[in-house]
Amino acid sequence: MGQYLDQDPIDIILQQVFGVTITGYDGCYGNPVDVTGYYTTWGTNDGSVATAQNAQVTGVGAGSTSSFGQGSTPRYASRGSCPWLQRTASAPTNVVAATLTQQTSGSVSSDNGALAAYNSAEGTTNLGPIIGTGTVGSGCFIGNQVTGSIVPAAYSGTVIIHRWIMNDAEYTNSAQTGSSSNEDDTSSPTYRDDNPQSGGSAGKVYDLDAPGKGDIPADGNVYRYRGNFYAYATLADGTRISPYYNYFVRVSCKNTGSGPQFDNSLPGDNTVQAGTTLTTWNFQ
Amino acid sequence: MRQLAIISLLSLLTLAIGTQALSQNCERLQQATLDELVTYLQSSEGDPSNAECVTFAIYRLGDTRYSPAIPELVTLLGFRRPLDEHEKLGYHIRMRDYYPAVDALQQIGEPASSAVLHAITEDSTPQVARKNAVIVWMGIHRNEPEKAVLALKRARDGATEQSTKEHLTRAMTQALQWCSPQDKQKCDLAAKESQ
Repeated sequence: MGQYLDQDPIDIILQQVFGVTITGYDGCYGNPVDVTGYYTTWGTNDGSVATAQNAQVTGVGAGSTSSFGQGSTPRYASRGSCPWLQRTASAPTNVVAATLTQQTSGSVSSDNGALAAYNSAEGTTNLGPIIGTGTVGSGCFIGNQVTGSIVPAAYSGTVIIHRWIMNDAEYTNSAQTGSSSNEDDTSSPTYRDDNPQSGGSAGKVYDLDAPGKGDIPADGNVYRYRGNFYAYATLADGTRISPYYNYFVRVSCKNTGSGPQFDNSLPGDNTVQAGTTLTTWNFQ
Repeated sequence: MRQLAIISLLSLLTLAIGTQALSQNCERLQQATLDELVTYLQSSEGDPSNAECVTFAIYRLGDTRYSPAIPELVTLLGFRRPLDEHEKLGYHIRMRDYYPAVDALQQIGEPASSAVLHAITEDSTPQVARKNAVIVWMGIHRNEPEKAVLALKRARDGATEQSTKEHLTRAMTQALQWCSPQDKQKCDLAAKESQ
């Protein structure tokens, strides 16, 4: 019977040192046995992606390769002794990394599995400043899509884009009405596409968000939101595989009787951009 | 026999007291096992006074994709979570549904399919829960929405009860709205597939 690496595939991240084990079967009863100790030679097919020694695989660069161990293991026989067998056990190895980019205009990507849910919530598939008419109510929102581009592109495990509020504030005209900080703002699965291969994505995962104010009363007041966010991607076990991406959202909305409309009286309002913003009502 | 009855009664009392204590403080739920969370949901039955804790339990079961919770989550498809602090002011900052069981069942995915379809067809399913069941159905199959529509159509064509047919007809109409523009044509074709 063969001997195999218990971790198959080996999914690791950059600089991670990951212990592996090899299982064989005893020749008498066929029971599984840990034979890792017999394997003395370790390596990978591409040292720029991963290296391996002493049953430990280390992520060096994003990509795919194969890790292997080689060793002589005892061969059991009912009578006498047999020569030990030289064996090799290998497993595909992915060093997974993601780069985040943000789309703030145009439409939700067609291979984004959350497109239909976004369309239902907002009443449009457009990104950027939108007058939402969907289930979240009629109001002013700033639609944006964060894309995680995964290396290796063929990686098929779950990758989740998380989002946190660093700090934010809400105002009616210039009077602050609310604020929060350091708050997990990760979208529910309905508004994410965590599968890098779904819809022909070939290594892309997505997150959709549209912060803003719904159900604007027709009172002429300007309702404002200013928020700083950061996003990052993780594997299913929570291991972070991307740098942090910082961005901010500003929105001001009013309703003078003809429905919600963006208030553009402040330059630089009603936008989503990389970086950070002051969360004062007028950015000063 | 009497001893057994007393032990059973004590067990029930312990569970009831435990449930009450948990509902008073959601933090205690964070230490609960997944089975205990299911038990908690069964005992709270979506009680509005425990809404925060019920919401927590539902999300946790979804995050862990705990399929033994499917029957309980299906019964909570109509449970609406409390608004967060932003939402109380009318601001929508976090993209998430108002119905946490919709999220949880989608996370569990395919294993929830048959229970969700059952909820769509059952006469006893409340209207909001039935609508949410269709959302879950389309969410679970969102990579192949035309197949999800087709499955509803075939279930309708095969149904013998008139009320089941009506539920599935309405579900198909709703499901078509969950096909994205590029899938629309395929979904429409699936809905019109001849028997």
